Amino acid sequence: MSAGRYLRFTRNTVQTLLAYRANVLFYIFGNIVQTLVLWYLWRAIFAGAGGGRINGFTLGEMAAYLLAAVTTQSAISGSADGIVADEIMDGNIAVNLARPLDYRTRVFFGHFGECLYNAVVVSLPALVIALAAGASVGSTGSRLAAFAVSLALSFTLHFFYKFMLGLTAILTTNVWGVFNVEAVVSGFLSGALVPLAFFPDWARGAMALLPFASMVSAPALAFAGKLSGAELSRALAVQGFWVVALALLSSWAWRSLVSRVSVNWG
Amino acid sequence: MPSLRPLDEASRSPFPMIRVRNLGKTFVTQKRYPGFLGSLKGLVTREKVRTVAVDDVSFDIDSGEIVGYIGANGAGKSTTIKMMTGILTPSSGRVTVDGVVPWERRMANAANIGVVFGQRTQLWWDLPVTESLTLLRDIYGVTKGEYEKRLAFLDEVLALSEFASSPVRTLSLGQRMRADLAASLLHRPKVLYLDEPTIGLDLIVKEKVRKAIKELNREFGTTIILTTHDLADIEELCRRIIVIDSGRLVYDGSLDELRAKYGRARTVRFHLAPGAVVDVAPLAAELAALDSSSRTAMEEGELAVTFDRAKAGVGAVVQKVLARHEVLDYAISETKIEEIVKRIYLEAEAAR
Repeated sequence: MSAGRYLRFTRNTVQTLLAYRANVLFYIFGNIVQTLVLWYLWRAIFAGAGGGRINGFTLGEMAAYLLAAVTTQSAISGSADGIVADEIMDGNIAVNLARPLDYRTRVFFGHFGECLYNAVVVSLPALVIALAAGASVGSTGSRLAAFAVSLALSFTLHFFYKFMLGLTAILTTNVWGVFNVEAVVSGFLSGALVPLAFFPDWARGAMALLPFASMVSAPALAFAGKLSGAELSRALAVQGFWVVALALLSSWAWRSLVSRVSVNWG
Repeated sequence: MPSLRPLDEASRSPFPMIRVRNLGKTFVTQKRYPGFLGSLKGLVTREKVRTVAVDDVSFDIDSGEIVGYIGANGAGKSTTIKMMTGILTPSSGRVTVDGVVPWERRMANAANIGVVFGQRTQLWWDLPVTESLTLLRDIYGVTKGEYEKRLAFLDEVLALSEFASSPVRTLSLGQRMRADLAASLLHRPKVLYLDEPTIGLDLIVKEKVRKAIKELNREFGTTIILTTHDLADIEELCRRIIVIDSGRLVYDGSLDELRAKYGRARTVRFHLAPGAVVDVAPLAAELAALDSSSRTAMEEGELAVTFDRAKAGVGAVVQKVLARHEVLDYAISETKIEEIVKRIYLEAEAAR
């Protein structure tokens, strides 16, 4: 079986997203506004504090962190959970189970298409405009490389995590509430809204070990140059652990839940 | 069980395309209570409800057969199909399709089968039909040359070119069904499952779909299992039918046998003169003397007499009625397959 067969799903997802042209424009616009708001907000906070450092961050580092966090979030914004849960709830999982395709691999390639679309079409313009507005990042090659590796790990573990989250639809048959709670919790714990350095000491240690920190905080800190060599290795090791753990967990969840699928709507 | 023909192992091929043995599926769901307070109660209780959807079903289907799989709503048809396609895992029993246990080797089985669910589409909603078809071509690993050839055949029987470049969401139901049928056939499956393929279609499209199914079976010897509520589909396509009711198999045999057993019934409907006072009791008694199983009643303003053609001649019945009532017109109808099936359902219910 070739990857080419699955790549078509990525292409289709991108094509489908592009088919709604008004949506494309609104997303681009929305993302630009959001990035700028975050940037001006932090600039005002730093100005209010009389410049210098806040929780160890200089304004430049904060700008780098925010832009990396926004990029990471777009690059891992695929909704494998939504794809899986929708198919379970509207019964279309039946069609996909009757095809000679590995279910998780197929979902992955659709998820990947969303990530590509969001990263390129949606977040790139926002980044360019934020940079033009004065958010200086000045990153070195080694920091970029660390970011790329960390982002790849983040992307992988995030997929397995989302896939498993979607499978909960088989158990609960209604995931709206679960997904909302998850979005709030992961937004908070991943460092997407506020760097984890802003949390109290006692919470920080535990948060760094959770898979959420591995999703956004780790690559963003790597990009902002906030990790020493040892800290970087440690962060990558934690990410690597979660990739393996979530891959195994999601395989197990799929095997044990698929026999419990009951197809809705006839 | 009103036992019609039992499953006759000896008369069938030793290597059937599909073998179903003692298949059963029980769904376990959380009990739900009515009303808002009920929803809250549902949060704290863990009471389970067990629903038996399919119960000890066995049959064999040979290569190249077209079998009608029928039953009332909720009888367990779709659940059986979903187990044969590997979508659902049964609670008990065994199925092999071309030697493969569908839910254990899902991908191997999927390469052998095609499925059309009348109520949902396997095409990509926002993409043009041709995109969906080429995507399926890649999924099933059909070569480009072979694809062109097969598409030409499908275009011929299903007239796809008139809407091939439209996005699926803009298609009419009939067009969508034709596209779906084409999508399920591109990889030339050995077995084709059609779950209500003509639901909601107009007569002309239905005719087209049936013709395509027949053509396919003749040309490639595809084994076809068809569920439907439209018995015209069955009459036109199937020589064999399997009837399931409340999850149990109640009939498995040829359509002709079924007609021979139940089809002797005739109904004659008399349109009486307006204003005629009709007391059917004396007439009913007289007709009962001819055939004790006959039924005489006023239905929708017409006098309807149903009887066994072998016991009472149509002539005799008509004469009796004419002697007692002023008749403007009358019509004789053969028992429709609908009525036969209804009767099987009722008998099965009475036997429970």
